[in-house]
Amino acid sequence: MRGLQLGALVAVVALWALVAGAGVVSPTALPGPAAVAAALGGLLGSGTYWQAVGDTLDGAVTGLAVAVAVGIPVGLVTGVYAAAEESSRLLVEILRSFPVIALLPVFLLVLGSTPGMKATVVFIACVFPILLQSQYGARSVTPSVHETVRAYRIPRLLRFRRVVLPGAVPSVMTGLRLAATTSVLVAIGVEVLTTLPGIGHMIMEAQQAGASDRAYAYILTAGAIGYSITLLAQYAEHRLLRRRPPARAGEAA
Amino acid sequence: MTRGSALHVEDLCMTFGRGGPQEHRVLAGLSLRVDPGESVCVVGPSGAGKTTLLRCLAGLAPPTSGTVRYGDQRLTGPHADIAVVSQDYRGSLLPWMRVWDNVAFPLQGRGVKKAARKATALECLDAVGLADVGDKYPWQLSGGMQQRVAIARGLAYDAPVLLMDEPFGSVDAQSRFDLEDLTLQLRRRLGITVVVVTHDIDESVYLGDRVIVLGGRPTAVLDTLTVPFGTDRDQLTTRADPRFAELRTRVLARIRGERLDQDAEPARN
Ligand SMILES: Nc1ncnc2c1ncn2[C@@H]1O[C@H](COP(=O)(O)OP(=O)(O)OP(=O)(O)O)[C@@H](O)[C@H]1O
Ligand SMILES: [Mg+2]
Repeated sequence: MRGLQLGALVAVVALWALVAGAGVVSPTALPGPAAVAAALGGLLGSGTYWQAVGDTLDGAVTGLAVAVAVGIPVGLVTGVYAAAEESSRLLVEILRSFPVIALLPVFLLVLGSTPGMKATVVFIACVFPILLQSQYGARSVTPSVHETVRAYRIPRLLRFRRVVLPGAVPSVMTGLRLAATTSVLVAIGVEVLTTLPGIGHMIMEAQQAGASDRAYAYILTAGAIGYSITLLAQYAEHRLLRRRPPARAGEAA
Repeated sequence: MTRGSALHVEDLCMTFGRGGPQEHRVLAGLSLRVDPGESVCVVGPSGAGKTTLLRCLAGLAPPTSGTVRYGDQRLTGPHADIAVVSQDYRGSLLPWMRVWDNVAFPLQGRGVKKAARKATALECLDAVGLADVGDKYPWQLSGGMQQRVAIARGLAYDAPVLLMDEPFGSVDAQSRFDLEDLTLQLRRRLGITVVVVTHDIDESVYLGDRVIVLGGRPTAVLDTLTVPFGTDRDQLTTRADPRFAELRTRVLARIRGERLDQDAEPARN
């Protein structure tokens, strides 16, 4: 499996080298892998690079953290209390179908071009997948379990802690995984569209300076961050769900 | 030596989907009573409403009309004195809790400390023949073992009234006999009241002081049989008793809607 994946990766890089080397596209549009690798190597030693990575992660992580802090509790509570969920459903449906990036001008106007604005946009993009998945998770308590918990008169808090919460974990983790990837994407998107510092900004800057190898190095960096987040989330999920029946753990993956 | 109070069911009616196109009248005016320390078996064809009746007895389902009383209280919800072992034993176990934890969970709800409730849970697991699976997860056990875990949880709750819905359906014949004897022994030793829903006619006669036969459409009590074997029963001699065969024949005839020779009234109308 791993070998196959590596093979696919090598094939892509080889194809890239081939296309770039053939001169079909100009080297400014698509520099070869070697040039990009060299640019990336140079960047890794520079403070600006790490500053940009830090800025992007800062916005992404802040927005995501607030989304987690708000989305999980609100989602779980509204999921448990069907009435609260009914009343909030329409609002949530409307809000979540809003394309966040399209709202960027509004945020720029209201909040200005600040790191706080970036985090806010990330928050808005991330909170709905987390909230909805938490809601879904809280409602995944089966009728059979629900009845057992009722019959044995398990107090509300204990029920929440030992039944609702563990039952919601697979679903919440899925929401987290989606949101984590979204957070970096949106942070970079905001940076591209505004002048806020970060990877997105550096991509634009490098491109405008005609240093496409550097621009690609930053794009690769963004990809690497996204991939690391996915790996991290998978690892966390695996740790949390290792004591579950195989079918359940598989369902969540 | 008995514990708890009597259960009274008066004119219990249960209609699902009332007023809708799917209206389904399941129970029509059931009346029965279960005395403290008594063992009552409920038999009836599939879909007759045995589970529905048990859920009403447990305070889990509000009847459409009629009342369920425990002692002199009207049951409006689950009662601390009543333990329930549900028919869907598999679905009622929590997959993220170890077996002992599942058994002990109701005790945690009562505020029992961890060491004490674990000890109780392991004792109850031992009683149902599962001495060394406490640290496993329910989904690592076979169906029959899971069913016994659910029974152990009911026992651990240590309630004066134990309601069990098809509790021995998935266990092997030998374990089934053992669990039947365990039930009788608990009843004798602890003075608890037991209500067992079962498909198995022999089991109903072996376990019950009385057997309540449900049937008809909608379901009513077709017959109530008194079983004269006392509290000390034995798988071999009790089942070999000529009265045992007589009783099981009568239950079977009732379920099949046949009239018995000694009947003055038709079994159903
Ligand atoms: N929540 C419900 N909503 C609608 N109909 C229901 C509901 N619960 C039970 N019923 C119906 O009531 C009838 C009796 O169901 P019940 O589960 O009580 O039967 P049972 O005697 O326990 O059957 P079995 O022996 O197969 O367990 C069935 O026809 C079933 O479809
Ligand atoms: Mg049933």
